[in-house]
Amino acid sequence: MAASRAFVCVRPQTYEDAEEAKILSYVFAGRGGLENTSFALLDPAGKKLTAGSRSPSMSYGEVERFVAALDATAAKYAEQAKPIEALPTLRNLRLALNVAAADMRPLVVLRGRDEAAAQALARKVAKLAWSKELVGDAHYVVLHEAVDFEALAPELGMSVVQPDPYGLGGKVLVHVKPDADAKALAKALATGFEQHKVEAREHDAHVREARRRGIEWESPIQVSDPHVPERRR
Amino acid sequence: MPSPIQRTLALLCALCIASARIESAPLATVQGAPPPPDTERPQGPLPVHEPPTEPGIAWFGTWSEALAEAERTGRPMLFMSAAPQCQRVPGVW
Repeated sequence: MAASRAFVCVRPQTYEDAEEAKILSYVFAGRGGLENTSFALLDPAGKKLTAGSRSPSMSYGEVERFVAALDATAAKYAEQAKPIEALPTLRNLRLALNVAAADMRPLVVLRGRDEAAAQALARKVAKLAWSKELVGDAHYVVLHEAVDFEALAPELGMSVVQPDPYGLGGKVLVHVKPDADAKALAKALATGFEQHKVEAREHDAHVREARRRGIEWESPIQVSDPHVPERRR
Repeated sequence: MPSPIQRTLALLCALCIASARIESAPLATVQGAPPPPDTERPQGPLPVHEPPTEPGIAWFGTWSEALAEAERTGRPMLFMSAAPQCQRVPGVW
């Protein structure tokens, strides 16, 4: 994990945004177009430093080789590298719940009365999100509009949410008001993360239950991965 | 005894391998051969997703914000895209 901290790590969600799809295609695309996953190391301007592939395992095979590549790449930029300050966020609440559910992580929802207020709150939380105590513990999403999403309607301020296993909704574990100071925000994050509990998820049972309940994820872009059966795209 | 770093990166690689297996994609096929037959069920045992016990990678979720931060900080980027569904089922990669 330490090897990744020298990088700006980005995980766009495939098939979810047309503009990002162009970047994904630049990084790696099979003959049929976008594949479900793509991987590469990039320079700070977004230019590929390594050949694109479907995954680190495809590029490096063994974990040790992957770590060595990360360390060697990071070393080239270490002298000039500044600390990361921006809050790593997801695009919207729908995607954020899904991603947090898939990663089995809590979701921190920041909501301001307008964009400026939301961004101000995000800046405060960003310092905590990159702290040694909390880095990598959760996902974040910033909203500046009221949302009522599958019975989840985050109030103004910061809410730590436990997504349901399919990311269709979630339960607010902890909430603090927008004017909370850094100490209160830190306490709320720590408390929320501690309260977040998920059970192991058996893949096949998860899929079966989704079929039974009619749960289906719709992406704006048609799945084009040749390894996914046509009827499941 | 593997270190936390090794365990996490092993998990990352394992997830990618598992993802490829779930999609019935032998490595040779991924690297350029024709797609496999329309096989709905994966080969081999299905993975159990265990809750994380350690901090994970702090992922930016959008390209534009990540690029802006990489340019500002002068840091390289670790890029890994993923579909937030498996066979159209959310909550799994």
